[in-house]
Amino acid sequence: MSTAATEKGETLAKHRYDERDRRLVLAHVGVAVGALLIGAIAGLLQVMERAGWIRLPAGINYYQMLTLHGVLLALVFTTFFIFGYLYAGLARTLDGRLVSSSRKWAWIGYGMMTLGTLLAAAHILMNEATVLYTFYPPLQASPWFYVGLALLVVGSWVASAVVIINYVHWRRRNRGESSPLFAYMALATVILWLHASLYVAIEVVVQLIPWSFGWVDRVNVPLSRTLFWWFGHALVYFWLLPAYIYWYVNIPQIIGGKILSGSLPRLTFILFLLFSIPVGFHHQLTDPGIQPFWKFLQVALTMAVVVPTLITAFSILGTFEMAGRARGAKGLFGWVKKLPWGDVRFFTPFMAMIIFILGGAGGIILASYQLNQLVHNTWFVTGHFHMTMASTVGLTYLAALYWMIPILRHRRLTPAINRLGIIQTVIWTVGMMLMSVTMHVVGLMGAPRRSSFSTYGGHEIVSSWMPHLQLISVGGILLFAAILLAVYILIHLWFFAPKTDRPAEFPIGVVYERASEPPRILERWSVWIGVSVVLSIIAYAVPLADMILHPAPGALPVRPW
Amino acid sequence: MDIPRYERLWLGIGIGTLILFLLITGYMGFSMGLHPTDGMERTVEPEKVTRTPPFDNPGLERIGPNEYVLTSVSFVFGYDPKEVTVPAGAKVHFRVTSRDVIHGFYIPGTTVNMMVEPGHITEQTYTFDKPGKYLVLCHEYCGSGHHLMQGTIYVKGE
Amino acid sequence: MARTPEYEVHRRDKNKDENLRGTFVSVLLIGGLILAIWLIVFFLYLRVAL
Repeated sequence: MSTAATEKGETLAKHRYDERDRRLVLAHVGVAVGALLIGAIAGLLQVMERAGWIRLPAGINYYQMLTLHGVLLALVFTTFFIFGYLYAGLARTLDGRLVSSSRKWAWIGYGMMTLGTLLAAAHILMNEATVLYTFYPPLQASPWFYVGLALLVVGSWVASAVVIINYVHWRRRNRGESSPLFAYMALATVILWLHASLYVAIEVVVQLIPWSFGWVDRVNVPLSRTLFWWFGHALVYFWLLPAYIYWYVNIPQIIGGKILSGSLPRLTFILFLLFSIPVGFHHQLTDPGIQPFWKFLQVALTMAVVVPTLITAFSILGTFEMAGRARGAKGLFGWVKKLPWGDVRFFTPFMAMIIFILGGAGGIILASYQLNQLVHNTWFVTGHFHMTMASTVGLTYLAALYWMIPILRHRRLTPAINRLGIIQTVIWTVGMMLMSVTMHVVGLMGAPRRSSFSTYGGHEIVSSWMPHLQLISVGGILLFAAILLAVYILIHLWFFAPKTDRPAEFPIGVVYERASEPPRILERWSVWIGVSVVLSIIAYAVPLADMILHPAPGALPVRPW
Repeated sequence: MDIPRYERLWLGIGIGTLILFLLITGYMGFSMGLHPTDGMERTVEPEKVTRTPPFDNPGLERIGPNEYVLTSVSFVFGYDPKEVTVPAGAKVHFRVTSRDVIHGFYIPGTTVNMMVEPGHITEQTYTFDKPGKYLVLCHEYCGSGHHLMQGTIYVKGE
Repeated sequence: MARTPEYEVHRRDKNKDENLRGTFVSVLLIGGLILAIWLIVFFLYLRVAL
């Protein structure tokens, strides 16, 4: 019997990570933490400039910081963490280690992604790519910025292949069995990613690179926006799904509970695969050139992607309640007291879940067709994604790092560090509530996002915004403090925490023994990939054909910074 | 797959609520004509747009007793025309384009919220019932002067 | 005293249901909050649009 962890309650032999897998995962984590720190510094400079407290020194402008902040946090920190986490979990649950032949591909992917990151970041710092992380043409950055992004994306495809290789290898040796939940979810995540990132790869490689090198004069603007958001919304699920893996697979073991169902979590990931991609138009509700019918169709599909989150909310809370009741909790909410509030591995993702409630509410509003007109491109949007992405996803990722790094570095997560982690989460939550709730409010009052400090010629409405903008900056400073504390904790765990030759286990939840076996169809990937592609075609074929076959005249490059 | 009874109930309520949102927004859109912006018309190459009608003469044109068409060109970093004045109750049909990059045309306190793209004409209609001085601002990053890009609509009261 | 297997299954499921009451109430509260927030913004929209 292998040292693999399964959810069937078989005795888990002591698992030790292969040295080569440790290095691979840590390499990814290292880049992620570096990107986190630099991206956070950029954010700090932004909020201080925005409140009018500082003027950025010569040579640095607000939009440059904003581009750096977005690219490093939203594209680099996330992608590197995700593959590190997936590799670590696959090694743990599949056969105790990654497939040997897949490791070289993992390093190739890592190299491409790191090189791409450095290229893109260098050009942002040189003010050659102050186009924000959405890089909408006709704004034109240096071609090497786009080349860097392309490398990052293609490198991630290689990393995705590593996940697939490991999954397929296990399936071949265990024919007829349902894959371990972690592996199933990891595969669903990379399938989603491969489908979605195809569209931004087309935008960057087919449209933007030739255009930025000057090989073609003009660019089809609505096509590029459409391709970007076809990718862009699914991107947030690429981030969210690993957080859900933590909640579904790691947390039950951390709290001494059980995974309620082996089937329902798989179904939710299939639903994400289907409905997170054909929905990009809800970012383009105020765009010209797209018929209302198609916009509304994608709004309906967007509402569908809320459903797997509704299922998840019930499943996760249900796991908590059952765990509490198994410990003797009584009454409607007695189980709440039985949860391990003092354990940072639980407390931090729990706060992430709480913040998600508000973030999700804002998301549904943003997607609600006409309601979007009240909030599009205002601070409301920024508040929304700082709650969902920076908090729900970011806090969960941090929590994972708090126990992953000690395991991989053969050190201990001490009670002192545990306490620091809880303090970090509290500071973060306070700062985030202050900042993001205020952002939602001032957005509803009309304050625009992605804009440097301005009084708009002294218009009265701006003075009504000002106190809110100051509050946002106070929240931002608290958040930066929390990030500094988090980075301190991570560095401490990496280099200074007490060593041990019996590191803790990568927590893998066990399925409730009465749950039924997952239906086989949930693992017939060809079916679900097919449906996902068909949905994309239904949602996009007609409006896309219109943009390509009856295009407006293309736009020339502009470099207005 | 066994789904607990309470979970099925919850999903029923949740899905029902989402459908309700769709029914409300769908009705407002397709029965009451309350769509967010659109505009399927194209125009000429952006660098030629200010030499081509109607954008060679941007401004307010009266088409009814209190109804107007506002033809507007966005550029780095301003709007042409920069300011217009209409009486209270004016129904204004906006038709806007850009001569360079993607801009925003946003009037806080109203539903006027448009993406302005080169080569395209974005359209929206809004009735200015309340008198006042309305700020028009660009909310889509368009360069270093983006936060200085603004215009004004004066709505003169009775 | 013999119990038929189906009876056991039924009892187990019933057990599980009762054990999820707190969860059910929690998600209803969360859903209610989200609905309330949506309605607030909906009325803000109506105020401006109509």
